[in-house]
Amino acid sequence: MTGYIVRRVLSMIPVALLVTIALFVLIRLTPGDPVRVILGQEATPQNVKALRHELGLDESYPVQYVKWLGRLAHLDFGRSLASREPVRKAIGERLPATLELGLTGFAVGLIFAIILGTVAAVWRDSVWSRLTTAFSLVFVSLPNFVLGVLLILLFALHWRIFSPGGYVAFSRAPAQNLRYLVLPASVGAVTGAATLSRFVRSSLLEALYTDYIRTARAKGLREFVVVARHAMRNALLPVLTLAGLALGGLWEGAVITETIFTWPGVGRLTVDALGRRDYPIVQAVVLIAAFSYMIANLLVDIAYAYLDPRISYGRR
Amino acid sequence: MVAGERLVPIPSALGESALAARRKHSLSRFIVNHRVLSAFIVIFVALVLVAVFADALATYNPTKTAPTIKMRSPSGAHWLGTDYLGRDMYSRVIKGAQVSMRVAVIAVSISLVVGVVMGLMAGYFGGLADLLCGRYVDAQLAFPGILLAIAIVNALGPGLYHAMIAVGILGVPLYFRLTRGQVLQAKEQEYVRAAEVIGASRWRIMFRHILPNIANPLVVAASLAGGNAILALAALSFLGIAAQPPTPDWGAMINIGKDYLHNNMWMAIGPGAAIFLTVFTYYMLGDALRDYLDPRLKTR
Repeated sequence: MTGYIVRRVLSMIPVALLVTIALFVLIRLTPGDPVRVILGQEATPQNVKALRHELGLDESYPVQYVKWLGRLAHLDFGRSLASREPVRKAIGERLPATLELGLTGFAVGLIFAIILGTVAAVWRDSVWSRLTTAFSLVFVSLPNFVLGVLLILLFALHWRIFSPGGYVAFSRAPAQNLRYLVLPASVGAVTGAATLSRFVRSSLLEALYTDYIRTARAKGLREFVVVARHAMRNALLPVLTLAGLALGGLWEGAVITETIFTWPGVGRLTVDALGRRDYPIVQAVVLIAAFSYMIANLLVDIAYAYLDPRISYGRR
Repeated sequence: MVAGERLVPIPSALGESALAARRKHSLSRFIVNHRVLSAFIVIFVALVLVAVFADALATYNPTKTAPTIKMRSPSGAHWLGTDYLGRDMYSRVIKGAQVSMRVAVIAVSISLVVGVVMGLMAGYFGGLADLLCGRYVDAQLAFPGILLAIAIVNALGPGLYHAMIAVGILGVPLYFRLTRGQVLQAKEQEYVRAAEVIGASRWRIMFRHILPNIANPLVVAASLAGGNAILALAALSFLGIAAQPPTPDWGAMINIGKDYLHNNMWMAIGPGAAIFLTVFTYYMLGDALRDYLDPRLKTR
């Protein structure tokens, strides 16, 4: 098992390097001279030259890339062009809000996906199954920003149950924090449940028609035990892959959801940075998102190997 | 099971015309037997017609402002009301269909051409071509989709065409993997061997012999990807980095509409409903097409 994990981690290295090269190329493609963006068009040639040297922009691209990689290894993403504060600090301050929103939406969505998918698979020709399928089809086709707007219209403006946007730290006012959290987290939860419930359903349906389930029923086990203990265990393995990817991709949802609900997280920081053309922040967020995506994939693979005894750890 | 796992069709002893006639007959029978599919074909054709004839169907100039009638609710004169600049929302939503359909066609074409050519080369040549294309796709898949698109548009500069390129690049891995898998199976088939024996060039074998035989799953993937492309572009427009004012784009309209929900909710509801209907139709058609082209893939 340890050998498998080491090999899997090592296989990530070339992909991680390619990711950094791609991002470095994208940074260099970005129009506009970063020195002019920082100093303004009125800067003297001496100042421009000095800052260019300070930022290492007067060196060759390979040298710049290696030095940039070295800084990344120390989690040094440079400074924001607009506020001049370190990018790491800007992201670090907003990360807790993003994680709170993303993880809550993900967890609630996963629970609902398992419930809905199970109902649709166990009672496959019932009205519940059809309703679940319809729910999934409708909400997969509904963009999260449209869903967010609909939720604000209904629950904030029409019924006035929740606030249309805002945030207060959980440590300062827990109840108020949760009140603000409900609508944006619902967007992530509904979208996640719609996507994952289809996979839970088809995966569980497949499991319910296998020989070991027939054997379990023949032994006289209660249907609940057959589904929950025997079928579910195997059916949830493929779902784990998608759930891992959804977790890694919560940055995507953050960008949209935080914009709609004025949630002060990393997603909103990214959108604001896009508007101000504050490239270091955008690139840092993309890089962190890519790496967390890769790590989520890695964890899924390791969990898979751990949970499924049929997966071989050895070399072929 | 994924679309890439289907078997390569076995060349039939029937003549081409007989095959075409049989295919036509079975497609019409399939459509007749699937009423839901028929309904979505009608909706899809209607959407395409709306996009093509948007200028004729729009009741007002979609970009012309009229400050005296701003933020109006739906009425006989303005079926979806007016926006914060007094522009007719119905005309903007109709014109938005044209923008979205164009985006879907261009972005999917970029994905299809780049992904299929890469997949053909990687699958048929193998070796270094396979290694390079495979590593590129691995690296691209490490980026969460919309964030990669943001990074690309950030580098190229905001605008609808740059966003189309970004969305097109997002779709490349899907076609690459699908094509590569199909080519690996197809190149072991007798018809490819026969073409090699008679001295056909490798490019001719790839594009004239293998490609037509692996086209079915690519068509299905393309039909599904149209909906994804519209969704991705609407998201980029919503973030303000794709379509720029005054282009009537659905995502951009919702972005503005969300700030006026308490005054005039129709500014967001009209384009929101349009995106939903279009994407939903794409997905339903894609599902049905998948069932038609390969009944083994029919979801349970």
